[in-house]
Amino acid sequence: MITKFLSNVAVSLNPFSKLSKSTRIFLSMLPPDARTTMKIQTKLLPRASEELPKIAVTFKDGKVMELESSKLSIKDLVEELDRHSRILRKKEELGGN
Amino acid sequence: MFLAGCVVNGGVLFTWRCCNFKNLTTANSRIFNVHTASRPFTTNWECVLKNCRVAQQDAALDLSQGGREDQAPKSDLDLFPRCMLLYRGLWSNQPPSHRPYDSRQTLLHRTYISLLRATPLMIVFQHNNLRGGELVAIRRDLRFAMQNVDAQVAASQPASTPDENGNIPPQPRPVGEQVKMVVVNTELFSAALRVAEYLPKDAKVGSSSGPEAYDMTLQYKGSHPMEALLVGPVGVIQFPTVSPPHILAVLNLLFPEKATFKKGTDPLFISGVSKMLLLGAKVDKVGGQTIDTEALKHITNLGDLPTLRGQLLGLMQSAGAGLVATLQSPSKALWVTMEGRRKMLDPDSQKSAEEGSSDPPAA
Repeated sequence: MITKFLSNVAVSLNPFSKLSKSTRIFLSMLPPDARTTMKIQTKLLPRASEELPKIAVTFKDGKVMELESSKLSIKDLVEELDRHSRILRKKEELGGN
Repeated sequence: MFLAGCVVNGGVLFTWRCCNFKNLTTANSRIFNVHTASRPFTTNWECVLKNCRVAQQDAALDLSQGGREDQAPKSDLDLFPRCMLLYRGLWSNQPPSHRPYDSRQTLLHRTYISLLRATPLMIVFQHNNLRGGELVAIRRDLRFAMQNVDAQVAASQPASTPDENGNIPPQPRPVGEQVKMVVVNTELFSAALRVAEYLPKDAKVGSSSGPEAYDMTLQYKGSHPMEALLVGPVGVIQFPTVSPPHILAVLNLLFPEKATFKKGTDPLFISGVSKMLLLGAKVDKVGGQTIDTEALKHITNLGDLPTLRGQLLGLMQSAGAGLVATLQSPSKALWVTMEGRRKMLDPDSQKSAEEGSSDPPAA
């Protein structure tokens, strides 16, 4: 997963729900020094809550991507995020920075 | 037996032999294969057979000293693979297991089952990409914090008094010393959870890690609420008793609501703690509940177990005393009325009462 272009990650999940599996794995895929380069907020929902897990990612160019992670597997999640990250990477490469 | 095939591995030619004795089970021949894999074709079979005879004598000795008959080998052929393991120092008295008895899976499965059966409270957390140094720092600070709580708890309790012989009674091991943080293998932990929770107590299985136990509990896959927590990188903090001050200290240290750290705190610890995510907890050993973080915080507000027991006992005793008083009062009132009436009617008692009141007892 390309995490270089993420600036803000806000996650809400209910750990007792089986639907939050991909969300939790997504959290564990952020690199060890992620907390120095981006802002990560994790909100734990109470056990009885019926709310679905959510991931809201802000990229460095300001684009906000909200993902319904209960419907996506971790592979799909990564694919969605990387799609935009690759565009940003391309731009950066062409900009010669 | 016959030659089954040859494998060239790193330039060395290994020869595989298969047992084709009709009495041998597949499991036996599998073990046999593994352990003959690296042996050259010219094995000294006489030596093996000699060991076979030794093992047979050993087994007979076992049987005469109270060994189980069904475990004893029945024939030379039955004995053969076992003696092979014995010969190579690989045979063991371990209880049967689903995986090979010396594999890591078996060891972990047994460890997790005993952990689940013996731990009255375990906190489940997720650790996101912790570095080695961070994990070390967290473990160290957890140990120090637990030592502090132990010291506080010991200071608040009365000092132990020596008994009549002048001996100080032995103190129980402090709780904080036994609080441990373990990173678990989620798949194995849920398998162990199934066996610990759903295997009937009177089930006749050789061991909890055995294939029978596995088959009997397979139908409960995914049914325990704790299994939902066991996804991704997960660890548990195990407590030997439900001790609110220790739980509170762990929650404040590792899962603070608002991270404020003292000056001079290890930066590795700070970065490590920001990656820890509290998921829930499991209380009450086997058959207990899985609780969420709110309920866990509620537990920290309770008193410790002896205090709670004392409160419950007081409540039950006061209720009992009230009931006794209520049941007693009509009969008591009746008795008082009857006694008063009897005294009124009976001239003797009236007289004696008058005497008693007029004549003061001699000093």
